[in-house]
Amino acid sequence: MPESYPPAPAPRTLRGSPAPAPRPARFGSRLGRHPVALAALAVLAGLTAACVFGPWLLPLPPDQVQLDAIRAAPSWAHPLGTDDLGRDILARLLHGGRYSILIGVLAALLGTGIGTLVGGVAGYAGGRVDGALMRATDVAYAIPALPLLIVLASFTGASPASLAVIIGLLSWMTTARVVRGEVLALREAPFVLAARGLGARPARVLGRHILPNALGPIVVGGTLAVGNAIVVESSMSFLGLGVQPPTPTWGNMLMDAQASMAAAPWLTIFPGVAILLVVLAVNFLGDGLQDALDPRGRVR
Amino acid sequence: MSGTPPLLEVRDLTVRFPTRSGVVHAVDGVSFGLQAGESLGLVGESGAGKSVTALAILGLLPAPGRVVDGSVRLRGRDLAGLDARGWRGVRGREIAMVFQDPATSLNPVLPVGRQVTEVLEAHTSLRGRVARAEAERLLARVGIPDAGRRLDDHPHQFSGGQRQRIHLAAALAGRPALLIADEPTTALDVTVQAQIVALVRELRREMGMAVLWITHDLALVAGVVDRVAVLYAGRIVEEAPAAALFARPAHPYTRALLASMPALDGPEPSGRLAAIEGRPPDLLVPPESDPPAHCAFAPRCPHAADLCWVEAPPLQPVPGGGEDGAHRAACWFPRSGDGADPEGDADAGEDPW
Repeated sequence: MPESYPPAPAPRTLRGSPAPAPRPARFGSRLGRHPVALAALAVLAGLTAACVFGPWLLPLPPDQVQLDAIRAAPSWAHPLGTDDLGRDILARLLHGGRYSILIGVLAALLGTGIGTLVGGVAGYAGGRVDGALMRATDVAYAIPALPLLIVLASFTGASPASLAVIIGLLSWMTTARVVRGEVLALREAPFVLAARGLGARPARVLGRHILPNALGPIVVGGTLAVGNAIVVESSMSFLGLGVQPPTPTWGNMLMDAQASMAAAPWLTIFPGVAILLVVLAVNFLGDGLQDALDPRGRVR
Repeated sequence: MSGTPPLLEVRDLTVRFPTRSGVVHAVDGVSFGLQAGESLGLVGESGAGKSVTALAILGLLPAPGRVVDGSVRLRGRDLAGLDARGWRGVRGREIAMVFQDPATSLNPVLPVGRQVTEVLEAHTSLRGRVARAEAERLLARVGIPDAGRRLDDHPHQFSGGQRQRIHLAAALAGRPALLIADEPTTALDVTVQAQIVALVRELRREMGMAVLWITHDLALVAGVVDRVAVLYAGRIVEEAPAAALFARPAHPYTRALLASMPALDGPEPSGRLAAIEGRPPDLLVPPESDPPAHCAFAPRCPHAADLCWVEAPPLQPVPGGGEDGAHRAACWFPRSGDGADPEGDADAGEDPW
C-alpha cells in the first residue's frame, strides 16, 4: 500500500552541517565488546583479591600443621583438603598465589620492558646498532633458559623477588624480536616521516609515534609472559629450586604433591587448576586488550 | 646574486639510489630558487624526482638514497652540514612538509590535538593548556568545524579532506617560512582538492610563507603558484613564470602535458584526450654502464633531431622569453612546431616537424 508510507524525512541540504562524527569509543567500552576478555578480567581480579585478602579471612594459617588431619579429603573444615603435613590446601593455595602472581607480573613487566627497549632501539636505529642488539638477542635466545635459571637461582637464593628478576631477565627476547619487526615497519610509515619532517626528536618519534602503534603486540606479548613466568616459576619450584618451603607457591605445592598424587589427587588438582586458570585468563585478557588498545576499535 | 640570499636555493642537486641492479639517478642536477613568500610549482609525472627533491631538501631521503652532488641553502646557509639538532631547528620551524596521503600521514593512535601541540612544543614556548588553545585555533583556522570539541578525536574519525587540513595545521604550527606541499590533494575528491588549494593560497598570503607545490597536475597549480618548474627524468626541463609557461610553453614535454589536459571552460573535447606516447625513461643505470647522454625526452619527442640523440640540452633562456631570462627550457629546439613563435626561425631548418 504505497499511500501508507511514512513521510520521507526532509532531505539534508548540501550545505547543511554534517552529521557529527560518532564519539570515540573509549578504552573501557571497547574492552566491553569482548565478553571473554571481561570474564578473564573478572577471574583474574577475583583470584588476585582472594590471594591478597583471603589468608586474613581464613581461620587457618598456611603453615599450620595438623597431625590429626593428614591428607584429608575436601570437607567443610578443609574445603580443598589437606596435604602430607595436614596443612590446609585452601590457605596454602591463596597464600602461595600471592607469590605466584607477583612473580608472574613482575617478571612479565621486566621482560616486556627490556624487550621493548631493545627491540625499539634496534628497529629504529637500524644498521650496526640493530645488528649488535639482535645478535645479543640471538645469543640470549640460544642459552637454554631452565639450566641457567637453576644455576642463577642457586647463587642468588630463591626469594620470590630474585626469582621474578631472573625470569624477567631471561624472557625479553621474544618481545625484542616482535617489537623490532613492528618498529621496522612503522619507521617507514608516512606519519613517522611527517613527524620527523616537523622536527620531532628521535626519542619522541619512537615513544609517541612508533611504540604506541606497536602497543598491541607488546601488550599481548606481556600478558603471555605473565602466564609463562608463572609456569616457569612453577617448574622451578617443582624442581625444588624455586621459592623454598615453607613458603608456599603453586609450583612447590605441586612438587610436594607428586608423591601422593594417586592417593590424594586434590593435592595436585587444585594448584594445577589455579595455574591453568590464571594463565588462561591472562591470555584471553591479552587478546581482548589488543583490540581495545586500537582506537579505531575494529572488532574482528 | 646580490643582496640578501634567497630563502631557499637548490643548486645542482643530484640524488642517487645505489641498488643491487645499478644506480638510480633519481634527481640529476636540479637547480631552483625560492624567494621569501614566493610560490613555485614543481610539476612532473610519477618518478620524475619531485618527491625525492623535496625529501632531499629536508634531509629525509629514504635509504639508500644519497645526495651525491649539489647543495641546498636556506637563507644562504648550507643544510648539508647540519647535525641532528640543527635539522630540528629547520624541520617544522623553517621548512614544513605536507604529504600526499592524509590517511597515512597522521598518527592513527594519537588524538589530533596532540599531533598539533607536539609541533608547538617542539618549536614554540607554548605548553599545556596554552598549546592546546593554540592547536584549537589552528584547527579552526584550517576549517575543522567545532575544533575545540574534536581535539581529542583520532584521525580515523575525520574525512580525508579534514585529515589533510589537520595535517596542514600541524605543519603550520611552527610558523614555517617555507611549506613544501607534496601532492597534498592527490588522494582527495576534486571538490575537496579545490578547497585545499584555496586554503593553502589563503594561508600563504596570511602567513607570508613561501610554498613549494609539488604535483603532477599542471591545471591544479595554475592559479596557485608564481612560477612553475617542470621536472622530467630527474631534470628540470622548463622553468618559467606561471603565466608565461601556460601561454607559451617552450619544451615539447610541457606542451604535451598541456595538450593532455582537458580544458574545462573550452569547447567539448572532440574524441580522445591527447596522451604522451611512450613512457618515462628508466632512471636505473646498470653497473659498468653510463647514463644516456642524449636528451631524456628524445625517445618520446615528436621533434627529436640528430642533435637531441647526441647531447642533452642545458637549461637556458628561451629566445623571446622575457628580458631577464626568466623563461628557461632545456631543449635544443624550443617551441619547435609552434607556428605562432616569431623567434623560432633560426631553428626552422633543423626542425623535422
